[in-house]
Amino acid sequence: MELMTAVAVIMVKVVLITVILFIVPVPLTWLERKIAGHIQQRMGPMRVGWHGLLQPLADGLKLLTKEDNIPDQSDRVLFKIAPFVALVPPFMVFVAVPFGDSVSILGYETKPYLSDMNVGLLYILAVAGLEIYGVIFGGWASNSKYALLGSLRTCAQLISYEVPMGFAVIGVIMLSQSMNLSDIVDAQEPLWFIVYQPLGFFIFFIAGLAEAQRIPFDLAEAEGDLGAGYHTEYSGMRFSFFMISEYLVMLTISVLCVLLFFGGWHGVLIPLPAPIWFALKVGFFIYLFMWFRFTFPRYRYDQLMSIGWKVLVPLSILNILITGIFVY
Amino acid sequence: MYNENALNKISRDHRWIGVTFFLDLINGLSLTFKYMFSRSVTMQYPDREKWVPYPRHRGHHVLRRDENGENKCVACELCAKICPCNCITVVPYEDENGKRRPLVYDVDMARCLYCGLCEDSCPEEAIALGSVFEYSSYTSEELVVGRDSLLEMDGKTEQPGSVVKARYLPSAQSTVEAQESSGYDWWRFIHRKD
Amino acid sequence: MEQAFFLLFASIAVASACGVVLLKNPVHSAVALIACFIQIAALYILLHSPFLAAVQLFVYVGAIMVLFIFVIMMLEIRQATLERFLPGSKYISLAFSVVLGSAMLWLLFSSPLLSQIPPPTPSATQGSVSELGQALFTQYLLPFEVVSIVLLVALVGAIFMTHKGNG
Repeated sequence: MELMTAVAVIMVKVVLITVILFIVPVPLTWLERKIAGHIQQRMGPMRVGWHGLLQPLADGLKLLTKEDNIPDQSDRVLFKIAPFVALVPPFMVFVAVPFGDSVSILGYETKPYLSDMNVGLLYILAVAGLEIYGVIFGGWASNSKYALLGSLRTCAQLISYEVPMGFAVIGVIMLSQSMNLSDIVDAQEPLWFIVYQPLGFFIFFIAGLAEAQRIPFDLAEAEGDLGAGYHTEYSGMRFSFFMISEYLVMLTISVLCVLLFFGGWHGVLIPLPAPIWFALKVGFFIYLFMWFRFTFPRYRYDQLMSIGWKVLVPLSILNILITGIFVY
Repeated sequence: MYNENALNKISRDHRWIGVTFFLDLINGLSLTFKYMFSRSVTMQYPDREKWVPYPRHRGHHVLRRDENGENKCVACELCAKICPCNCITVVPYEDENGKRRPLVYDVDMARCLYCGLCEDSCPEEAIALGSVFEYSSYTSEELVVGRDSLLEMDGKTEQPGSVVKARYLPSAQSTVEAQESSGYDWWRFIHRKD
Repeated sequence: MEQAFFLLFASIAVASACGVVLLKNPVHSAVALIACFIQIAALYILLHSPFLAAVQLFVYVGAIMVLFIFVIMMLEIRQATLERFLPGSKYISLAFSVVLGSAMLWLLFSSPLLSQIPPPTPSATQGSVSELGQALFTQYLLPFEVVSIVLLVALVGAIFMTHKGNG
């Protein structure tokens, strides 16, 4: 009976998280277009629903009814599975992401996350690294020069920025003495880690921008020179899978920033429920991503590489050193 | 704030401070943040608003009437002669008062290039290019407009161009009905460097 | 239940390992190898070592295989898929692999070490970070440092080789 309840609870959580993650990108596309509009003094979508709120549904319907085009001479198997390969890792990441303290529903004590693994942070970084395969397979299987160039760039970019990202996280691990995310959040209850780790956060956030392939590091889909990058040849539902996974990676990076540097669900001053604090902080980071996107131009490829290897990696090693001295 | 580049204030020797703390990036971000909460300049045509053109706007042709309500045109055909794309056809006749008037006055809107030469050449100031700009059509036949409909057209506007509240009427040939005579000045919300 | 999961992961791992060898397209082989590595990571979790599983994902799947595919993508593989990897009859290579495989199996089963490995037990801390650090920097300090030096040498070598052409 105990086992049955446990399995049932896990199943409910899995379904809940999956549904939430599928739904979250929908308002995000609307939000992105609205923010883009208002930054450029436009209004963004206004016609479908109140202030265009139903626009994502209309877009989804359009994508569903579009032709699923597969290019000639392409690697058909890889071309078909690439969107799913891109979609799975962001979902896997959220297995280890805690959303709050333990709550009791109907007398049953449970924690709002799937797995409380003690290598949670490492697992998240590892799984987030798998995101790259969807991009590579999609770009290579398309048999198109733009897609291939886009995926080659992505490949190099993601590998390069995983290094400073991992190094930046080490400072947090040193402070909290744990890789368990809920332990890390609990360690921040007196003071957020952003106070101790401004440099670490800075490196993590920039590397996160690059990992999520957002401006100013969106060379993978530099529409000016590559069409649309690795998903040039995709259309319809498969294209929308790529879009969903991109938004989920952005969400992942925002959630990680909040959990690692901004105290997770712990609020300050105003006593709000933990999930609301969490959502507010994540929302702030998502807004930051979008704000950046419509403010900055794109870096050149060599600038991207030199920022990654010549600036961020040495800085992150310096950060580890400083943190080490202080912890000791 | 963004007009005075923060980097210029700091002398060249201390530029590295700005570079280290990303003053230029923060400048850009503050600019876009300001724009984010400024009023958007979108004219919500055709749903909510409509543009009332300037008096000098050259839109749909219009034939004017004199104070007695008579057609001012004397069918001298000067407009048809000067028209660079031959889009005006005039056939004169003599009416009951013995005056020369146009029996046919057709303007092919599809061929017209809205140069306004007909307006300039008209000795009676009868033909003019008015303020109407919504007359698209699915067939080019519909775009040949006859004398009687030209007499019904709206003339030139009096006020300077402005945005007025309007309503979209999909049933009545997809027209947009203006609900007030003068609105706000659209240029007011455009950010311009002085 | 663990038995069932083990059988599932192990069979997929073996199947994808066969795919690595048997598939003709090098990219498909690489995909099969990725699948194999992921199954092995799952097996590590069954062995109560989640840290090792995460490292397996991080290093092998997340980094090494990406470089593999990176290189394969840059090469013109359309020709390679048409040609055989080894010239000559496939029976000779089959014979070689049978001999090699049986030798490895014999070594494995005749080794006394196989029966001495204790079954994995879930530790209370499940390999916490401090525990791991203690082990790395006390018990395994020498191998750790040697590996670091080897990696450093490889790094320097790579930089030297890329700069050689430019003079």
